[in-house]
Order: sequence, then structure tokens, then C-alpha cells
Amino acid sequence: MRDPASVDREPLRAHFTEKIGGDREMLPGDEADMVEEGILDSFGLAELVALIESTYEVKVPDGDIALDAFGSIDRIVAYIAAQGSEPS
Amino acid sequence: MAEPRTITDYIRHRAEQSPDGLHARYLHADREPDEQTYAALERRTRQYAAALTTLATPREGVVLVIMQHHADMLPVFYGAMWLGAIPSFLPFPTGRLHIGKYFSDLKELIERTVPHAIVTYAELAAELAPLLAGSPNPPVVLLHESVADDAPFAPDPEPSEPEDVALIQYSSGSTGLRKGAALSHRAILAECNGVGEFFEMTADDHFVTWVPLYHDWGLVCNAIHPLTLGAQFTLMSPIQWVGRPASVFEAITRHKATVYWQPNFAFNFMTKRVRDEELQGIDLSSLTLCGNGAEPCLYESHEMFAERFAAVGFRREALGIVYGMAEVVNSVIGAGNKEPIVVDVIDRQALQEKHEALAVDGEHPDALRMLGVGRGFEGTEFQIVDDDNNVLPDRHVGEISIKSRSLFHGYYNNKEATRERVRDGWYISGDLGYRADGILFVTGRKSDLIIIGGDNIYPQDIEYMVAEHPNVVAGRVAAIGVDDAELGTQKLIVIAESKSDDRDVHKDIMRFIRREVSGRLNVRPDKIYIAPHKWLFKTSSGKIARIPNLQRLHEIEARAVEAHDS
Repeated sequence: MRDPASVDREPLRAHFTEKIGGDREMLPGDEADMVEEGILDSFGLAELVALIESTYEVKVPDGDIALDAFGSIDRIVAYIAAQGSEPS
Repeated sequence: MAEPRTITDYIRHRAEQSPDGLHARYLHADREPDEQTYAALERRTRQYAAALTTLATPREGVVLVIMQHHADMLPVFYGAMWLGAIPSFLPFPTGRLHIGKYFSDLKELIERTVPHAIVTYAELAAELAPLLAGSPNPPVVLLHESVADDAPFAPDPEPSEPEDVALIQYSSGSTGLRKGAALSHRAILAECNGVGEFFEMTADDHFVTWVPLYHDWGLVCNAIHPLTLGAQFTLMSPIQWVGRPASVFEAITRHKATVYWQPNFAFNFMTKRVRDEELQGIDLSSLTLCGNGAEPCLYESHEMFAERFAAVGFRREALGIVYGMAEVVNSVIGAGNKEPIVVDVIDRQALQEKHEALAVDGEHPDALRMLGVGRGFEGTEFQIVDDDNNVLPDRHVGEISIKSRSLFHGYYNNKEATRERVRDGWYISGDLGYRADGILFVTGRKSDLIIIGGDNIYPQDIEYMVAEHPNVVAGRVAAIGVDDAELGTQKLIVIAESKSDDRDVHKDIMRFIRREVSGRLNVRPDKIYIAPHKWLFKTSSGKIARIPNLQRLHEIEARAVEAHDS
């Protein structure tokens, strides 16, 4: 298991900031549900999965892809950290 | 048995002729696919029919089917049809949807439709219970999980006539103003026949789709049509596709699929989101038809898709287009195959200002490339009319009206809405377009309806919602759909007036709009602009003038960019 504290959150924050027009002040906290906030919808999932796979070098199996799992920056970080325990 | 005349006849016919033939394959993200033969389809259909019989489902009683991706979706649906009842698929709530809005829309739909039964899954049934308890004529609820493999079978189906209503198709998208098109067996089979003949489809075809069955395109074009042809189809969940778009290419490759339908935005979405490394091992050369429809079809979308995926065997000749709507079952006009898609180059400015499609050469500075959606299939004709229903000459933009052998019976329990739309056997579509050399070109919508990814969104729904914020001026909100060539569909812009100039208040309004609109209507605003009071233009009749307001917003943005650059 990767230490969640070692996961760089910045690329995720930058990604979601871009989705709301670029104003970082408008971005809710890492714990906020991006789906409820209207920042992430299902059409944004593919792009997010691509970002996770390329930036954090984890493979997201199709069965894991769901809005709930990637709904907040905290949850995405937890997912990435947990993937670190998988044999590569 | 005699030549099938109804959908139920086809189920029996296939099960008799080819019991072991593969009817459908249901793909799952986390496990092996479920495969369903025609014999299994008929067996499960009879079992659901028996279960609905024990619930005293009458002939012509409406049965709402609300199910997640599952191999029993069609047997449940056909089980109701088996009894002469009228099934209708409805979407299930997802994490994306504000559950309150979903239930209030469903309640309204139940009150209008007065269904006899709802077939659903246990989790949703538990949530539905309080809603149904308050209904004056509550439908009975059947859990699809309760119909076990050894459940009793219904006898042979109730005889149905081709003119009987086979199903109700509700329009997709924001639900407040939804109407259900009542479609007869005859109309549906005529539509399938028209599409099949035009594209020369046979029992050897193999359809792959992620379009859900509650969408008419999913149900008619990807499930009922293959059944009538005796062709197999592979169905994946839209959630699996949207999360990993390449998964549909994997399915096409693995099963050597020949037919793949997708709405226009998906051409752009696939081109943009499928990654190079995901194309390893992909082979699209089996596709004889990659058909576009359900929303305006764009030249640029076809070009980018054909160019990007040529390297994995995609053939440009496979591109096709269909046009239609639930009121004529689905697709009644089309192009591709033997009649290649015509590209008409016209003057964009003349189109916008004079509502005429003036042909220009490709080098013209305002050149706009329009894709011809074709001529009517067998049994369908179209005309372009003005507001007084006079037929317009070629290249003049007007409302598209359609006469078709697959015309619906009318909107279920809504004669008034039917009268508004059907005149002397012609369906008045609300779409704008022009005719040139017998070919139809679609230019947009007559109303302000927003179409995003094939779903219809009523701007009024958004405007009411936004005005609920205490710092937004009531009646001073505009929701506008803007064509976006990069997305291949429309994007949503919301402008709301506020009397406050406090930045924190503006931030709160923007957050409110984003949360409410995406939560309740399932669409994400692309841009939100908080305007000072009396900023929005209104027409003399007091309606928000969408185009002038949009132009004003563009001017402000252009000035902001200039100020930033200088």
C-alpha cells in the first residue's frame, strides 16, 4: 500500500479546476463530492481515469470505474494509494 | 407458424426455428458475459408473463420496467407484451441523479400513465414504497429477482393484432414535460423493415451497443430489430462504455460486429478519449455500418472519427446516418450504404440570417458543411413547411414534417399533445431543416430545446431551478444550448441575474447552479455567468431572447480577452 500522504494531489486539483472554468478559489475542498458539486459527471470519467493511469501509473480495471469511487479528491487518492499494494 | 406479425410472434418464431441460436450477449465490467439463446429468451419471457399474471395484469395495462443492466431486461419487457399488456422502459436512478427529482418525476408519470405494475429490483422497490403509498391508484410492484429459474411458465401469448399498442416510449432527457409515444407492433416492425432494407441487414449481422434500452435507439434499433432479423446483439452498460470508451471497440473486435449505432457526440468522444495504447489489438474492419443519429449529425464528427480509426481498420464507407424520433418509432430517413452521405456546402451567414441554404464552394469564408440525412425509407416521406403549414421550396429552411407508415398511435393518455403534433397524418417534428435534390438536411430546432448527447433538456426546467436561489432575480435566468463542434453536441450556458455584486454571493450562486442543474437534470453546465440586474434582453412578449443574450455574453468575453492580452 502506498502512503496516501505521498500521493501528489495537485494534478487532481488542477484537473477539476479546469472543469469549473479555471478559478481555483471556486474549487471545493478535497473531501467534497465532485458529482454532487456538479463538477464531475459520467462523461468526465474517462478523462479522469486516463489522468489517474498516466499520472499515478496505476491500472484501473473496468469493474472499478464508477462515479462513487472517484467522486472526491480524497477518494481518488485513497484508491491510488490502495492500488500501490497490488503486484505490478 | 405463420409469418410473424407482432413482436411476440417473432419471439416464438425464433425460439421455434432456432432455439439454440444466440439472441443476446450482455457484457459486464467485472465478470464473464451472460449469453441468451432464443429458447432462453422465450422461457424467461414466459416466466415473467406468468409472474405478471399472478399480479392480475390486464390486457392493455401499463407495466413500467425500471432495471439496471441485466440479462432479464428484455424478458421482463416482453413478458408484459406476452399478455397484451403495454410495457415501457424507464431509466433507473444513478449516483448522478438527484434522487428527489427522479422520484417526483416518476410520481408525475405514474399519475398520468396509471400503470398497473412496476417491475424493478429490490433496492429501488424499497425506495419506491413511500412514493407509491401516497398514490391514489398505486401500481403493484414485482421484483425481477423474485422470478427464479424454476418459476412457472405462462401459456401461449394472448393473441395480439398488429395495430395493438406494443409499448410506450418515453422521450429521454429532462423529465418534467415528458410524453410517452404509444407505438403499435405494426409501426415498430415497419420501422425495423425500413432500416433493414435500406442498410441491407441480414441474420448474419451482429449488433454491438451501449445505448440503454430505455432509449428508443437502444430498444428498437439494437434489440427489437436484431430479433426480427434473427441477428445477434451484444449489449454493454453505458456506464462501462462512458468510463472506458475503448471497451466498445474491444467488443466489436472480439465479436466481429457489423453494426454499431452511436449518437453524434460519441463520434467526438471516442476520437478524443480512446487512447493510442488502447487501440492495440483493435480491429474495426468487420463494421459494415457505423451509424449516427439521435441528434444533429456533424460533418466534422464523421471526419475526425474516420481519420483517427482508419489505422485500426475502420472503413469510411461504413458511416451511415439516420433521422427520426420516437413518434415515428425511431429512424425513417437515412443515408449511407448504397446511397452515400451527401455533403452540402452552404453559406453559414445566409443560413442564420435569411434561413436559406445557399450553395457555395468549399473555399468560401463562411462555408458550412452539412451532412444530408438522406431520403425517406420505404413508406416515409417528408416535407419542409412554414408556420402556416405551406410547403417551402428547395433550400428554404422550415419545419420538418413527416408522413410515415411507422407513425405512432399518439401520446399515451394525452390527446391534446397528440393534436398539437399530428396534422392530417403528418407529424410536425419541431426540427428545422431544408430539402435539396430530394435529400433532407437538418439545421436545428424550432424551439429552444437543448439537446446534449442525444438527451432533450428543456431550458425552462433549468431556469426555474436556478431562480430558486434567493439571490437570483426571479424570471431573469437564461439556459442556452450552444452547438459545439469540438464536443459534437451542444453545451449548456446558464446566465443568471443577481442584484448583489458581492463576489461571495456570486460564488454561492455558481455553486448552487452547478449542484442543482447537474444533480437534478443530469447535465453539467459548461459555463455560468452571473449578470447584474436587467442585463438580459427580453422579447416584446417578455420571453428571454436567447440569441441576443448569447451574443452579448460573447462580446463581454471577447473584451475580457482583449483586456487580458493588451
